[in-house]
Order: sequence, then C-alpha cells, then structure tokens
Amino acid sequence: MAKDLRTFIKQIESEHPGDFRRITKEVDPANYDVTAIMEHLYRRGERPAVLFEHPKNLKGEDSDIPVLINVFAERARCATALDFPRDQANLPLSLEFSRLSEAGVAPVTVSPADAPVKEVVLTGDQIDTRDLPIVIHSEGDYGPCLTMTLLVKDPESGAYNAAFIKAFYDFDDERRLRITIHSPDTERALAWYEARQQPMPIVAVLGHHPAFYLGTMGLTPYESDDFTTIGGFLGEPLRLVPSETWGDDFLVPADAEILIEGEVPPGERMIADPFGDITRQYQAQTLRPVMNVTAITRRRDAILQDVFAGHHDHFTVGQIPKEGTLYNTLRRKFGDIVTAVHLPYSGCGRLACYVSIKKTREGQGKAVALAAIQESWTFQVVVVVDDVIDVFNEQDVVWAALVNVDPSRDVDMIHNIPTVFTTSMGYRKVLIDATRPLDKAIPEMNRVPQEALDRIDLDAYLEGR
Amino acid sequence: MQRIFWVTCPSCGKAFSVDYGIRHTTVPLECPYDRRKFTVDEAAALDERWG
Repeated sequence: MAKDLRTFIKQIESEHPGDFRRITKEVDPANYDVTAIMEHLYRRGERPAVLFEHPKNLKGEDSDIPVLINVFAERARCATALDFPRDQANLPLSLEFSRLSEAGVAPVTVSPADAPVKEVVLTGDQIDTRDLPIVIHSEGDYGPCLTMTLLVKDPESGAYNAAFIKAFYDFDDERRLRITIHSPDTERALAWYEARQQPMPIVAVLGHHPAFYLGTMGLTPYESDDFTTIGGFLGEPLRLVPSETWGDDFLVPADAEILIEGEVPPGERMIADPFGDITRQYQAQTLRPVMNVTAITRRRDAILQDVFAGHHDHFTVGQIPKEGTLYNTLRRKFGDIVTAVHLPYSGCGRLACYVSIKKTREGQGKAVALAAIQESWTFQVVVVVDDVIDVFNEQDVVWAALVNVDPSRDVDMIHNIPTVFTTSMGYRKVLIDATRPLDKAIPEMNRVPQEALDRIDLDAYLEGR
Repeated sequence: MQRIFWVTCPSCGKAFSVDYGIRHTTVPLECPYDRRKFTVDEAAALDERWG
C-alpha cells in the first residue's frame, strides 16, 4: 500500500496516541473554532496533530470533509513521518533531511482507476470552493485560506516544483483563489508564462503523507524534479496520475486527499492578505496572482489538511531543512569545530540561528557567525556558543550570551543588507559571539563530572522511591 | 523587507496593514473585517510612519 495521509494517521494513532487527537464536536473553521482550539492546546503546552471530524463548510453546512491540522508541530512527529528515530529528532533529524534531499526516487504513473484522488471529480459548474471547510486562522486575516503545497511545472525542463503557497478563498468568485506566490522557483515559472502571455497550470495538494510535504522543502536546484525528491523522502515512488485539466501534460499525486487544479492568468493581480504568517506578524495586504479553478478532485472520504500558521506547525517545516543544510555548509568551511546548528522556535525557525563550536582560538565565533548569516536571507540574528551549550536548549544559549558577551566587541551589526521580513531591525543583521573568551580570565560554566554521570544509573536509584 | 503602511476602514474603523507599493494607486483595498472595498484616498486614516 502506498504511503498517504491515512497510513500516517493510522501509524501515529497506534504507535504514538498522544501525538494525535480527534475532535468529534462540530466546529466552524471559518469562525476561528479550529484555531481557537489549537491555541488553547498550545497554551497548555500540547501540540498534537488534530483531526476535526465534523467541520462546517464555507456555506455554513455540515461538511463531509474533516480538517487535519498541526501535523508538523513536533519534530518527533516529523521524524516518525521520515521513518527516523524519534529520540534523534534534533540535529540528527536535520542531517537526515539533508541526506534525503539527495536520495531521489523516480515517480511512477498509474491509471485514474488506481488513483484514490479521482474518486470524486468536479468540473465546470460543479466547482464551488465554498463546499470546502477552509480555515480562517488569525483575526484580521483576509479570509479563509488554504495553506498547503501548490505544484507548478517548469515548461522547459519538465520538472515539477512544489512549494507551500497560501491560497485565499475569493469572496467575489467561488471558482477562483487568490494565491500568494512568493517562492523563488514558483515566481520563476510564473515569469516564464507571463512573458509569453500564457496561463500557468497550477495544482493545490490539500492532504498527503507528511513526508510528501517535507519533501517539498528539500533544498534542490530549480531544474530538479520535486516529485523525484519527494520519492526520496517517502522512501518509495510517488504515484502520479494525469490531471483532469491537462492530462499527461501535468501529472498530479494519485494518493492525495484533495487536488484543486487551475490556471493563473498572465498579468492578472487582485488584492489578498493580510495573513498572520510565519513570523507571527501579519503579511500586509497587497496585489497577488489569482488561480481560476478548472477542476477539484478528491477521495470520497477526503481529509483537508492545513497548517496552523504562525505556530510550531509552520515553523518546523522550514526549520529542519535549513539546519541540516547550514550545518553541512559550515562544516565544509570550518571543519569539525562546528558541532551543531539550530533555528529556534523563538525565531519562528527563520529569524535566528544558533551555532555551537569547539573553539580553539579567539575570533572563531565571529568568523562562523559571519559565514552563517550569509546562508539565509531570513536570518536576522546569529548567536555562536561553545560546544558545551546545547543549541536546542534556548535557556542555555541565552545564559551563554549573558555571561560571555562583551557587547563592545562580541556584538556586531551589519547595516544595509537585504532582509526578508518586516521587523524593527530593518535592513540590519546582528552577530553575537557568545563563546567563552580565551584571551581573558573569566569563570567557566559549572558542571557535574562526566565520570559521575556515566557511573550513575538513574533508573536504579529512582526505583527505590 | 516590505515597506507597509496602515489604513483605517471608512466603514468599520478597524485598521490593517497594506504594502506601500500600492500607496499611490487607485487599487481598491478590501477590509478583512467588513469586506468594504475602498481606495487609499477614501481611508478614514493612514499611518505611513517609516524608518
């Protein structure tokens, strides 16, 4: 049986029941019921994947399509999705992600009769996006928004590209979506079509195995085929089927839950946003491309998957891929003095980067920080600490900054440099060398001897309680 | 980094942020709170502070 969203749900429900919750009570996703429940859970420190079994659609009717949200909110759950040990969900998971990005398994094509996503096919007047239980996430959002992956195809190489792109419900036309194309690869494809005044085929994938979506985040060249990359993450060929709109010219995932096929008319832009986005700030209202829906296909018992925007579910998806890539890049440049990399949740998995090093001489911390800040336009702050600090333990990282940093020499600001997000830092970035100075006498970090830690079997002592 | 400004909806009085690229256009904005469409010139208030 091919991997899909329901094989994953079955796996975590049986193996890790605390990772998954079902809500049977009726909810209205367009009236913040879903995100309010999720926010309550987060405030309790709980981040399970949640299946809302009885949502309303945008017409206010009972929908037969459940909503699944928050799948990516825990790194351990992402590890399960990639068949990787959950107790190695920190840096080892990020490195596994890098390895999988290059694994590659070619897709296979199946017939529509073998494609669950073709069980229901809606075209023409049958299309009505109001039939979907689309979630409104934050107060002040433009409206209901689909948050999963959109597919485009490079017309020259034939390679498919997948990226997380928001698709807003259009209040003026239930057969149109307003899409916030902002990934470089998708922008490049759109530019090709617009230069030729041609509509761009595009497909929203609203539910699949989480390895499918993690695979879309693999950092691969534009010309590489994301369906092959995704196969590497699934550990098996991704099953594809001809689309309803373009047939064999545009293949789509056969085991998806719901697909929305459409075309982006060249040059057309409409208002979309605000949206409470990745940095927990609102993306400002602006002009965006639109997608004229040509077909909706789905399973008879389809599940609509969603990302809890501006929360861990959103942060983790970008955090894990960047950590592995950055670690490998820094190791190539500095060798094994670089011991770990983490993009903390406090920085939304995008804004801040913590690096630990085995420092051997003064100045290495700053050199590593300078190299790291150039590796992502989203980084605004890089903090480098000693290898005795666990970069996944933010309390220890902050402690190191508090005791080791001499602000007159260990904090540097780079001015007039491109940044992605609108924050008060503006076009500036900050480097913090929080490693313990080697050129002056200051106290070191306290510790219990490693020999004692190795000698003591904790469980043997606790059994006597 | 995207420059933004704030507009206040002439109907409901609630404010939302807008990309500065459409500050000097007649593109109709759409209030996310009451769906009122209005141009920048019709906004009840603007906040363009920057820098």
